Amino acid sequence: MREALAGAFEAAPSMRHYVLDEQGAVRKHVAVFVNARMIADRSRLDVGIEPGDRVFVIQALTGG
Amino acid sequence: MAASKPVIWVGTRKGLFGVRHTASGWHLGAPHFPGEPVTQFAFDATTGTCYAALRLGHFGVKLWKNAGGDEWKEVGAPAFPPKPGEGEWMDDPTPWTVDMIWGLEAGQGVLWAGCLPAGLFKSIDGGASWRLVESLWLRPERKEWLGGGYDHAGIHSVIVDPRDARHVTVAVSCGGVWQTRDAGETWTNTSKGMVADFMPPERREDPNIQDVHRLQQCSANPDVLWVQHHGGLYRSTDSGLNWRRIAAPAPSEFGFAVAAHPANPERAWFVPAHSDAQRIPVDARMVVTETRDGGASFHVRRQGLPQHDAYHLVYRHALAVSDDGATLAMGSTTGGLWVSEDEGSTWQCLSRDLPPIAVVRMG
Repeated sequence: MREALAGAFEAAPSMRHYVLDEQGAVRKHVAVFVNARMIADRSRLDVGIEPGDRVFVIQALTGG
Repeated sequence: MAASKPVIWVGTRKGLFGVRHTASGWHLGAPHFPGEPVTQFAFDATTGTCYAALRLGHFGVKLWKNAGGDEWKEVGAPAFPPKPGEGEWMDDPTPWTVDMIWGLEAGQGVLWAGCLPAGLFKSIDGGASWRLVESLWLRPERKEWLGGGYDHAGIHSVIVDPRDARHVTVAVSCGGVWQTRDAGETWTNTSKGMVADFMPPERREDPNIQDVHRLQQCSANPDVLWVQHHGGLYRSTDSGLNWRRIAAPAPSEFGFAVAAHPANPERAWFVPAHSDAQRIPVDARMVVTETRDGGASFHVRRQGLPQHDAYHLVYRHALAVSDDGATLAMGSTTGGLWVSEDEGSTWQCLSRDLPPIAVVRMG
């Protein structure tokens, strides 16, 4: 999955710091799913994916 | 002919407003960044450039820049380097991720950002890139700093000496006042005289845990500094080497904001709240206090401010004075905005309907 995200960031470099913080972790109020399953650890992106899998980056709930 | 009135920039929980004066009075206009939290604003008078710091709920801290006209463009945002995987800081309990730009100052070709957590960052290319001032971040004393209202300590005030841009003074909540005279190579804590009443007796005069709420400087006499501290008001006449506590004025010495008169080192304004435990106006009547004699005495300004059922709090960055000292503006955490055009003596309400106001600045 890390490579899949890296590919997206290469295509749109400014996206990187919207999705990840400066330590490389997924931001607290962003959620990443592989197909229907949310990744468990924001700082561990080395999640295996298979051809045909879909990675979703979504806005979790925040605000006020 | 009177000088033209400044634009009053109001950063709120839901956008940035540029309040302009016309023949018919002050007008808010539509917000920039509608719906987005604006935590800080800076105006670089030498270039006419505005900077707005956002704290996006999902996507983190962002910085936008406006070099004139209506066009804002995103520039770089301060970011910590990778947290060390070994050595003294590998177990640092403070996250090495910028949560908020809390202080932002432009001047003399350098942009400074004080952040939460308490990293100080410097940009010499107008915000395109940033560098952490490691000489302060890696001070061992940082381990003793405390969060003041947030989970971690932060830097909310940055002052660049108009006589010497290498002399920079910052205030940390809670970590006291720190100064560099060599553009950030070395730092000294200069909080002598401050007292933290809430600490154990042995630590009350510890310079490294003082909770400065806001630090401001007299532009024309930069040796004179004013502080609204958690425990009261302080003034220094020697660039912060020594601080003198000002006798508590009526109705209260508690508050967050202070504005220093740009030309007269004897004058400053504060917006008191009841106390630490009651952060609302005394008797629900909103006032501004002003000293014209270095803190020896105070005037209480009420005219034009709500004098009953008022529960406004003016936060540390939300009181501003124009460069000529004539116009003041302040905004509250419950969305009230007031302006004074007679040096703070009388006020008019511009809105009671804004989102929570974090910052008010003139530009």
